[in-house]
Amino acid sequence: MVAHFTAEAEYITTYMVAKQLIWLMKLVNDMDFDQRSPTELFCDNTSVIAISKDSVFHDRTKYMKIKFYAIKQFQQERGLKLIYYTTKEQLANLFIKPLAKDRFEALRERIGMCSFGTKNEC
Amino acid sequence: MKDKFEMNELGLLSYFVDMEITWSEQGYFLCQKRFTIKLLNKFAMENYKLVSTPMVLGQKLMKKDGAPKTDGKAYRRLVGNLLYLIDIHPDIVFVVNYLSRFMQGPSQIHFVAAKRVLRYLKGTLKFGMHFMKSSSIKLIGFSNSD
Repeated sequence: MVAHFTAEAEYITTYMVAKQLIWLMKLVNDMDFDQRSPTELFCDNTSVIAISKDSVFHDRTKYMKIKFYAIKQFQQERGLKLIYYTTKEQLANLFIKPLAKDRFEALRERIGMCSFGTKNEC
Repeated sequence: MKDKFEMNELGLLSYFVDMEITWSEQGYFLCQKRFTIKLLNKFAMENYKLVSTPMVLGQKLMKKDGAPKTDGKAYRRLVGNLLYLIDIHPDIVFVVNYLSRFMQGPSQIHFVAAKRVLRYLKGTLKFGMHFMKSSSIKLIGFSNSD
């Protein structure tokens, strides 16, 4: 699949993450962990959030496949919430590109990796 | 169950498929120190200098980079071993994934990049995943594309 502009690429990835999240939410539910608040999905692109909220016919999004609009439906029906997050804080960055030392170390700590003996994180 | 089946009780799990497990009151800690040391010995990397990140910032690897080819077998063995580490080293997931794209016909540049991961691991021997006991669980998603 080819994305024609950045927002579309981000939108497609968000859709894919959302799908996985819906599955995980079911799994967590089956394990009897009751989660009342909506599941948060952090996304560092404001256009994605705009598209997912507003289904007004946009000139540049008109050719996008209907299935991607499921994010909107997920938000309304399945308790998913898209939230904007700055790129700096984006945890997923650790998994998609090489980072500089400071950012790398900060993110590494936040995903729950720590040295033995300084166990206070996670 | 003991009456019905023949079995031994060994107490809490402490070592399993190269994973070291330490239990504490808050939870448990997983680490692969021994395996990493073995790996460093295997590739004679014990005395190399440490680095703080597993990959050079902005580094791009290519299949045909013009550098002389290296020993593919050793490269594949190294990447295979690194794949074994990613379960509790999520910080190297990206670089290992990247390196494994060059399993076929790696050049010296690829091998140097792979060895950098080993140098990084040497500095983070004691690192691992700490799983805490907690009463509530919250699902959070992050999405990004590159």
